[in-house]
Amino acid sequence: MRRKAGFLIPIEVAILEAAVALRKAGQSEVHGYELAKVVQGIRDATRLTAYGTLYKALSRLEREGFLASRWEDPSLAATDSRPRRRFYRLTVEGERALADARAAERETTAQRPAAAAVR
Amino acid sequence: MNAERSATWVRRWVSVYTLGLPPETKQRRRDEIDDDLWCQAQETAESGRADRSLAGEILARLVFGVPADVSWRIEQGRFGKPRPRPERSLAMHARLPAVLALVGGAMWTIWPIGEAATHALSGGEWHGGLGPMLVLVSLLGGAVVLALATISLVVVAQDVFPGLMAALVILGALFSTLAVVAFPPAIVALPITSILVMWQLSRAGALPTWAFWMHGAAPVFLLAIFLAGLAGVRVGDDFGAATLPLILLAVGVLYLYPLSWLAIGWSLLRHRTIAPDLAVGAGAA
Repeated sequence: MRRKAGFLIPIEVAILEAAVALRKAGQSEVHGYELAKVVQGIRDATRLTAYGTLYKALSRLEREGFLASRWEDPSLAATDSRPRRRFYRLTVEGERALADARAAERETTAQRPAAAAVR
Repeated sequence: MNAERSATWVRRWVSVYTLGLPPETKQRRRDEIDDDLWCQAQETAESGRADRSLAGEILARLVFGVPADVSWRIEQGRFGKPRPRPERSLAMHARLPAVLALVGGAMWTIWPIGEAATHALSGGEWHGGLGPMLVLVSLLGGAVVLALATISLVVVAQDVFPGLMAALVILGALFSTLAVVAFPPAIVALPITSILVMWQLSRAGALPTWAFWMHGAAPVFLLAIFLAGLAGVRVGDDFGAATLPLILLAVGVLYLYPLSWLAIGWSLLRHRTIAPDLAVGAGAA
């Protein structure tokens, strides 16, 4: 089965949620590691999301138009003696996709009360 | 291994899987990973955590990301020609372990039946031929498939497994496949590792609790028999009329193991995810 356009897997939902949370905290642009940290909290995970999983998800979210990105000015990175950084920003489409994912999740949860009951 | 060496392995791997991509795509991925490694190292240094702990975490993030890296690389196309391909759905993520669980469970469910049938048809003697061969294939093949199912569950639900447990489970499952080629007792590692996996998934709310209990019943039963044997408990022939029901009960309990694989496979196919439930309805974190 191929994924429908706009369909989000859990890691992508978590990334969008992290972007929303960081924006609420006053940070409209975030880099990959920051997202990984917040995603770890959201998913209550024991470790940070794997490099491949994280950056593949970011790549796909950007391709779908749910995130926009830009590279920072290299001189800033040089001043701080660190690698250059890529910043991501949540788009309106991303917010909409997240809302749709939440609605779908609520619907799925409502459709399987029996499964939830046996847990 | 120290953190710097782990980071070097990450960079080497990035160089490998970005091979043949346009320089700008390659550089983008390298820079992003470099920044991530730098941030992680900075944060670890500030928190005063041990270098060895960071090294382990970097390696775990590397290993668990390999399937996604390979999949991303395939999407990029060969020799820099972008070949956009739809990504696999959430169903596909859980589908591999689900299918392996179903196939392995089915193979282990049928082999005792096949063996009993073969035994009955051959008058209790092993004559070779297709029947016994099928029994052998389903028994040994099932062991390998179930080991792969165990490993794939850990990889797919990587977030819920502590690094050490994940490593032990993967090694244990690989070790159990030795039973097929050279070392039959190694098969013991399969139920031990799979129980660990089901326990952790069940704790994380990713599998129904009953699946864990169903899965663990047979190995615990076998362990009890083993311990009873060690303790010198003897089961004599004086059960009389109760012998057959007891045998049927024992067979039923042992059958729970392959049947639980079938149930877990089916559960994964139906629910389409083994990731922990996300609090998507509860607002942003």
